[in-house]
Amino acid sequence: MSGKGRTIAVCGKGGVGKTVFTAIMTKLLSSRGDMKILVIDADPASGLVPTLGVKVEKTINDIRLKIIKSIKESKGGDKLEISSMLDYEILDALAEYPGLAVLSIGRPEDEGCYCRVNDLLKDAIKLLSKSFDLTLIDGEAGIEQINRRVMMDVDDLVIVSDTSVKGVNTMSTILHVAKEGNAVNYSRIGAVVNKARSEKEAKQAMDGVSIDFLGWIPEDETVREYDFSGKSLLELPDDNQSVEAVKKILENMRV
Amino acid sequence: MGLFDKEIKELKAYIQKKNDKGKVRKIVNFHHEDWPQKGASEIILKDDVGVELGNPGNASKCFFVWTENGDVRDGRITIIGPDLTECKCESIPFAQILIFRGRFEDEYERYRELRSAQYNTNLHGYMIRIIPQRQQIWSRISKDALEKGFSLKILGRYLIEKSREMEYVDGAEVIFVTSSKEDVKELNDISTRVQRIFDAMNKMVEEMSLDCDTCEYNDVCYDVQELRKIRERLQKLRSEK
Ligand SMILES: Nc1ncnc2c1ncn2[C@@H]1O[C@H](COP(=O)(O)OP(=O)(O)O)[C@@H](O)[C@H]1O
Ligand SMILES: [Mg+2]
Repeated sequence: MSGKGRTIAVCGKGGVGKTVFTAIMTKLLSSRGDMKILVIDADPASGLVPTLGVKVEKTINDIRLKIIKSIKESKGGDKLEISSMLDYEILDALAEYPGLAVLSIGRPEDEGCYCRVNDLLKDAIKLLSKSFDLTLIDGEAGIEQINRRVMMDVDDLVIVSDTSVKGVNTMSTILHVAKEGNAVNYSRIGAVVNKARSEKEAKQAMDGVSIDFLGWIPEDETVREYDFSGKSLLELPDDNQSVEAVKKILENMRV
Repeated sequence: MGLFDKEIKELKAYIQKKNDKGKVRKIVNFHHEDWPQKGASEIILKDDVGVELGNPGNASKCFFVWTENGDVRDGRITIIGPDLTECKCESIPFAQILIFRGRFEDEYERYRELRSAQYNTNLHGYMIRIIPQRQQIWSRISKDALEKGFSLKILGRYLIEKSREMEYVDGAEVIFVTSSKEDVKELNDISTRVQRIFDAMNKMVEEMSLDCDTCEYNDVCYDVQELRKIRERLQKLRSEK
């Protein structure tokens, strides 16, 4: 592990399995017992919260609106007051479990340009993530959104794809945007192929994309069943094949 | 006359009143080996919380006042209600009030520095969130710290020593209230006025206009002679420019 406060962001086309991958990583890491994990649900359409079976009562967007309201009523105060309020509200917004806290970004609503609030929010999230051993971000397809709404820089960027051409094309696009360097800053980047039938198939699907292959996750009936019946993926059995697969991916990433 | 003479007097009366009900302990010159500092910033999650103070949904209050030559017993820790190890609950109402004695001529800067200093509580197993303007403080003490004997006396001594590091502070005392929500809320009148005095002072410094007729704080300025002095000083300064 590269020290305290490491941040891993997961992105990729909708439906490829970002949320499933994040949820299984969460299961593995939060049950280690010696780590505190922060999981950020940064995809408003995602459903990470039900996939983990956690309860979130307040989102970052709720906090944002509340702060903007108090600024409009000129009760915001100076920078220290606003950041203090954000730190306070964010702690209150955490869904807390042993070794694990979940923070939901929520659906963005346009409130005009409150860049200052957005920047302070990102600072507050960064500060919070520094107090955890590891932060996982379940992102949207685009990485611009992570940069805009969650954090300016992460340690690891993991692009997930299934074996479809569309999924892999999206991976290439994201890789391209990431390498241009105008979106989120990162130190390492790698790919995970989900819903594959074999390692061979997974690697084949990614043929021609020049990115580190971190591992693959099989098409898994149990995962599908859990998702179908709304059961928390945190309760997947330890010997489940997808859990084993994600364990290997984490080893490859030296988490 | 000082900015907070009235409020300090009322605080003493409040303590006296609670004392008559037998709820008060006063500790002077509390000695304890230094509490370990925390390394990197560390989150205390619910599962690790030994006791939570003034959390959302509970009563919470946090403010400071100062005086140049008023009665401050340096090093005194006043605890109204049980100390942490004596509480049976996981969540308790909480107030934390600091009274400083020293020289505060540049009131605006002093306010900002003392306000920032509230955050620098680098104590292992202790985590705070403060909203100064709302005078809210929410703290968590870890199970581990509680088992090792963390107490309000240790926190109080730390806060006093930290504030004594400011060259203009030459004495400090701290008051904690843990007895009940009602006892914390009873401080509302005092705390609201303290905040309005600071707000009025900040407004004078931050805004160019010193027009009292339209100012929302003209009531406190009318009451507090010291605020009017600050205003006159600012007016003079600005007309010289
Ligand atoms: N390895 C897998 N095996 C079986 N089904 C999967 C697997 N990974 C994801 N799924 C299913 O695919 C769908 C989309 O997965 P999800 O993680 O929500 O994608 P994303 O977050 O990328 O939009 C879900 O219904 C999920 O149950
Ligand atoms: Mg998703």
